[in-house]
Amino acid sequence: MKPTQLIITIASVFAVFLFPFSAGKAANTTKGENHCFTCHTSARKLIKITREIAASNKDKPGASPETKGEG
Amino acid sequence: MEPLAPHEKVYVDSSFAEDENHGQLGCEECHGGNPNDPNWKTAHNGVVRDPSYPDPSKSCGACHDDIAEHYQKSLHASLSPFKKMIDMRATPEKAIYEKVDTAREFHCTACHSSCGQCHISRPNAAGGGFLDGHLFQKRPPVRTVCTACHGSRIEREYFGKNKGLPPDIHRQKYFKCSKCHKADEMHGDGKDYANRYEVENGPKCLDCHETIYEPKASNAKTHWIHKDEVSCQVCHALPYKNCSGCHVGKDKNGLKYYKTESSFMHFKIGLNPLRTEKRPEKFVTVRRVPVAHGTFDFYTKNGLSNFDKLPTWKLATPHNIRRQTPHNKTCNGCHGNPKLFLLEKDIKADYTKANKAVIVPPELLPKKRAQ
Repeated sequence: MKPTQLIITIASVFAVFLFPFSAGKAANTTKGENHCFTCHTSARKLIKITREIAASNKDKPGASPETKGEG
Repeated sequence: MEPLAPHEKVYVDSSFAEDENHGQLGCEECHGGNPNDPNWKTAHNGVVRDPSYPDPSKSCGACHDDIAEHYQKSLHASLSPFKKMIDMRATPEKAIYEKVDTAREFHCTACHSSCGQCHISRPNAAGGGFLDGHLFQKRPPVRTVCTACHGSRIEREYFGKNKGLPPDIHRQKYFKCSKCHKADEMHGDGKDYANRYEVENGPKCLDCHETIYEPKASNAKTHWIHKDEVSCQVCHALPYKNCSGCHVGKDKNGLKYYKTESSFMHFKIGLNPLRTEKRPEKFVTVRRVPVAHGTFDFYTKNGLSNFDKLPTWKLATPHNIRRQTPHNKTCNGCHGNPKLFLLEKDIKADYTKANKAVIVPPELLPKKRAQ
């Protein structure tokens, strides 16, 4: 094996070995998928959940309508 | 400020994972919760929405300990001048004082900020929501952070939103808030200041305009004549927003409300109520602040029995600075022009005593000059 080929082979092995560690911990946990990250990076899932929350809160008043004026 | 849809408020940009510093932390390390739980309802048990408030030492402070050390005393986090001012006016009797203090905490101190509410999300007081997909913003954006809270006064002045008035000249030079208000000022230095004008590393016009007194400077003579007599804003600010008659309480659903009786545009020069070595000027611009005798009447009658201990027209630094203003074009734009000054007749009778220290007596009005 030529020296150049040897270097490329060693570098490839290192790259493959390091790949699982390249993404931040925000994306993965030690136990696998980070569900916080999976859900909070999916607009589709968030829209579904926030609609669900809004529906369950629909009878709850928001800000007081009695607030008026600047300050 | 454009409102965010509910899902936009919590949408995380996937590139956050590539943030070589913050992306290396697991979500739960700052926010708690259970990242291994696929059920969003139970996964959020114990989640802390803003882990930087009130104590950032275990979140941001784990790395930024030099900033977090002082942060709780920064005025943006503590809002301590509110307490100091209201305490001075409050009735000392324990049962009444406690009601006033609870109301203050509930209403006035709700607008605090935090590390997260400047660098990651909009302030809670302005509706919250991530600024840019939870990507950390080294310099908080002006319109979604600074003026999200400082809206009715500073934003309208600075961006020229008050009818008929131009924007601040610094705005026209594309200055962002952080050009003058540096991070050190925002983060605090550990001292519990009585008000923002005492903050040692707060901005001063002379920080940049240091040559105005030099012999060759334009208007050097005018600046020398007025040095320590008037604040920069007296000559260089335009009319600004004033509010009065603030009342707070809870509606029938238990939701807090805020009401102000009126807001009006005025430009008023008063006597400097906070004359110090740092601010030695005799005359300053003063702004009507909304506090009223009955601000806390909902919670307790006569809660502010020492109301007259402080003026309701406060030292102000309007953010609508212009090199030339209608009243600095000529000497007599100001001299012999009493309507620019806060006079006793400008103040309602029941507020006169409180404002004694800032009302300009007739003998101190500058006389008209021969041109």
